[in-house]
Amino acid sequence: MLKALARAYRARTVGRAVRMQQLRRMKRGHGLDPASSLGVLLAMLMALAVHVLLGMTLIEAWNEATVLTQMEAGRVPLSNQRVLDALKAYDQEVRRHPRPMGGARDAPTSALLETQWDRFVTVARWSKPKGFESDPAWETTLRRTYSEHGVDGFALREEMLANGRMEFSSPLKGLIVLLIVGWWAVMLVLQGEGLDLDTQRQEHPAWEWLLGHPVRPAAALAGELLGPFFANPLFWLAPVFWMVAFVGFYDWEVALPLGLLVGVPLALMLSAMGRGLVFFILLRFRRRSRGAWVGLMSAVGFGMMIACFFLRQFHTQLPAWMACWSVNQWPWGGWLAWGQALLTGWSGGPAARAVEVAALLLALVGLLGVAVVGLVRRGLEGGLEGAADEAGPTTVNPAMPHRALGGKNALIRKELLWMKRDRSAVVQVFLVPLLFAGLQAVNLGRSAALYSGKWQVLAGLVLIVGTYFLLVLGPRALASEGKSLWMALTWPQDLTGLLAAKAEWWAWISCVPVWLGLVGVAWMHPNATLPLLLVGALWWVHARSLSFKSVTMVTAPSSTGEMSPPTAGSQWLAVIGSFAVASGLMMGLWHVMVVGLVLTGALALALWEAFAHRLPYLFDPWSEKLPPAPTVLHGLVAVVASYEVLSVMMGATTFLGGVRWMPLLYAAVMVVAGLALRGFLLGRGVPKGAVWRMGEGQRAPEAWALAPLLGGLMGGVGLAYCWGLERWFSMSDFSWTLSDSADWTEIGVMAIFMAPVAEEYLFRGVVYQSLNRRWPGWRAMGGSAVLFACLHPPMSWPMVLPLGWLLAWLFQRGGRLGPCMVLHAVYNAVLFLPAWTVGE
Amino acid sequence: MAEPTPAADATVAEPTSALLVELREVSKDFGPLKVLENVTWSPPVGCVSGLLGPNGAGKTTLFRLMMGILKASHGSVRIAGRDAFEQRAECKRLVGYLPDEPMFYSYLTGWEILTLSAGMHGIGEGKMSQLMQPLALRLGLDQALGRYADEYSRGMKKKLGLMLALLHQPAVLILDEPTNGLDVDATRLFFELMQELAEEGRTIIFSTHLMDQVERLCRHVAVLHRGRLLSAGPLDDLRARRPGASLEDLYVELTRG
Repeated sequence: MLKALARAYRARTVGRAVRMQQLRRMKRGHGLDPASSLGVLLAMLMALAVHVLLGMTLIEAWNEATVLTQMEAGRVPLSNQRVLDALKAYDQEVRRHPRPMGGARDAPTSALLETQWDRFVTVARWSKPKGFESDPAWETTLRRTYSEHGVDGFALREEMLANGRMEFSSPLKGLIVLLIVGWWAVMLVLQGEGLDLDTQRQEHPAWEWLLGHPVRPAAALAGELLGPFFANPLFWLAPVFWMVAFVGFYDWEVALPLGLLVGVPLALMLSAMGRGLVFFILLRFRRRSRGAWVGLMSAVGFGMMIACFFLRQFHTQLPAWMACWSVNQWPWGGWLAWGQALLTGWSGGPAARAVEVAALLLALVGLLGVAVVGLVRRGLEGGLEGAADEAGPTTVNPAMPHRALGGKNALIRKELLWMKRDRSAVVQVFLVPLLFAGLQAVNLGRSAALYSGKWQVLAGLVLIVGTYFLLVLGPRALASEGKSLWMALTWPQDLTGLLAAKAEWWAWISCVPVWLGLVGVAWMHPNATLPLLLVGALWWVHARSLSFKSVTMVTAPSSTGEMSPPTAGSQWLAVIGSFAVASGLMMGLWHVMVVGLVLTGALALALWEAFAHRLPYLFDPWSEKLPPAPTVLHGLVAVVASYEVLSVMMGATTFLGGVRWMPLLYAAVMVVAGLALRGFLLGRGVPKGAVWRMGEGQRAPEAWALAPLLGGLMGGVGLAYCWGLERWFSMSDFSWTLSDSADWTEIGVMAIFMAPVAEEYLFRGVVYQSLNRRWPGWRAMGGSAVLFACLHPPMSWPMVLPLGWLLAWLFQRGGRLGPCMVLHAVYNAVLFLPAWTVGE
Repeated sequence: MAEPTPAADATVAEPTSALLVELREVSKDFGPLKVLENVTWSPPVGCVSGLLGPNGAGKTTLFRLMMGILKASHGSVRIAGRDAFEQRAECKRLVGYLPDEPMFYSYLTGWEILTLSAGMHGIGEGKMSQLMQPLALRLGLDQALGRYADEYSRGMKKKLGLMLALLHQPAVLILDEPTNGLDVDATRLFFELMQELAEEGRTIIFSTHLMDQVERLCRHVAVLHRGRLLSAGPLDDLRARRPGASLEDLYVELTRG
């Protein structure tokens, strides 16, 4: 029967994966995503990495704890022989110079002594354990130890570890083991069959089916309890954790089999414990909170697994923190020390200890088994119907209707009631996204080597949390509708209204963690309160764009009830450019923030338009027809993508010192973007010349004559502006600084031949034309000018904005892109005049 | 960004054609799978029409096409002269739908669901209460409306679903197996209601595979099998094919033939 069950659970998991692939294929019509067919292999590799890392963390923390325990007894570790030799040299020197009676042994009596001591302290610096914050404190310890114990007070770290490894008297080591093994165990208990955020769940899907089989109910339940073990690779590879841990204490011929012997039963029992908990919740908790708890458990388990990748960096800090709490001196520390026995046994040679460890851990398995049985029995006490539901809201007199849900804000009020009454709302909307966002923040916070007291970095991290929060929330926009989605389909507004209400509401919700975070930053940096207020206001604007962008990733439940995953394309579109504001803040670049705000807002607008067009086909992707190209979205994506690439390249060139290549790099990026866009549009059936012509055939030949004149005029104004900046504000415009460092050939090529062509194609040909179709007139001109300015440095904005407007007007007037290119080229040529005259 | 905008006023849009529901050579494919093939059908106004067919015949797909949830691969689906997909906003004001297994939000009471739906149709609470209270009393739901809707029994959920479908006084009512799972009293009540609504001039379409219900209720019958409409017309015409034969025999003959 076990074999049958194992097959069944594997089939179920495989079936789920295949179904997801089917749903993806259904949406886009093309074949399997190659990455997903490697799904099991990748999952196994990830599971292997998790267990290996955790095992290594355990060993390294144990080693550190061993060293710290010995330090508390008065011995100081030295990292290598060289340090010990330096100490011995100092000691010899001390012996050569006998001291007066009663004098301190380490009192330097000569300059040579002092030099020897300094040499020793210098090389001993790397032996300093993480618990010591400062070098002076470490030096004090070194002096004290030498004066009390001489050279015997010091030992090589390896020796300390070798001698102290199996020592049984350290509560600190016991606590470390309990914590890390505890983490491993809890992580497995909460894993289940994988990340499962179906927070609407209220009952086990197939109780009657399960218990209706002609087997004893206990056997059926036992089989169901082992479900996660068969389905989730994290359980199959669980013994690896123990194998890695034991290798630190025993020979590998003992460690590997021992790890397998204890790891497999533990994994089985922990899987049963996890599933038993889920049963208990589904049977005994209140209806409206069941799904919430199960979802929360699953999310925390997932988070704990991901955190294993970061935990290793704390392996030395962890014991040090605990040493600060003087764990070794706790009154019941003796009991804690028994935690060590899980790894090392408590007495005898290696073989005896291995047997002790096996016995202890298998006894633990037995205890867990008893707990699982107890849990399931308690759960079933109330019968399969489960707990009585709590009383609903007081019965409403239909003659006096409840005022909660009428009128224009009906949808927002519905969301409010959802949050108030449904526990799963808190989990789905707050806890889960915050968990994922928090994990990312921790990951990024490690690069808080950048954080040298700057409020911008902290505030930027807070914004990153908010951004992730919204990006995680978006695709699940329809999940909370669950099986009631049919109602929304009968309303005249379609789903657009429902989703727009959610997006607005979530933008407001995201303000809660972000504003709280910013308040925290303001508390730490009171002098930055005013800029932080501004950041908070900016967030409110930015959150709306992010929220609407993120909701466009939404997917609908399929006919069989699963949520199909968002397509890679929609995910990329929603994510692109989302972090510009936060990263701009972190780097202290306000213009990057402004550009990020503008671009995200524009992209959100365009995405939402495209989304509203696609939404009617949510349940009928086979009938979906793409809107005629080029759309506003196409142009915007090209602009935003170029901006992202440019930011990266400019950062790289600044860092690597290739400033002189910036003009060519810029031009190259723009040309590539233009070519890529052209290729895409041709693939979508846009006729070859369509982008180069405005409308059908209207031509004004005088535009060709106007172009160089206007270009020269604008160029002259531009020069005057730059001169004014330099003269009255001592500020250099970008073009001036460029002229100083770049060669005129490069500027010439970039400014006259590459940039005008590419930029006109992109900003006038695609962006302005598509904007004009939707919002004709000054809005299209202004919009394309603003987007054009986004790709230029902030000091040039007062010039670039009117230029962009003028170019759009010329395109409208002349009907061809040619004159625009001429204008642009002439403008650039005039503007870089100082480069021609002053350059090489 | 699109704001949630319920209709300004709840006026049922005036129909622009005598026949409210018109399906002309409608086909629907889901990729390679052909679900409906060349279906032409126009249920008459003011009477109850039955859509017969086994499971998998395409009845639900047909209803979804009428609701504008799916778009026909070929042919046209028109509600009161308007394309059901392209002009779905207007069509949804004319159509009321009751699904086979209505599920409701777990955090809203019956009354709150009614007010929400009314709000989305642009009907004020006062007017909604005026319309729905007598119906609630008749269906026996008036006490239950104050409780969470997902705790209702199956029959109560269907009744609430019917109330939702009738909220905006639609000219067309589409009911997917409405009496599935109802007890005798509730079934009788549903039948009475359907007759009354038909007499008021509405087009009632309901799907079923229970012959006795068709015989009791319908004047017009369509038979759907494997995506094809095998027969559509007055019940008497169908009976005239083989006088004396039961409807069940006629149905079996049609679908096997």
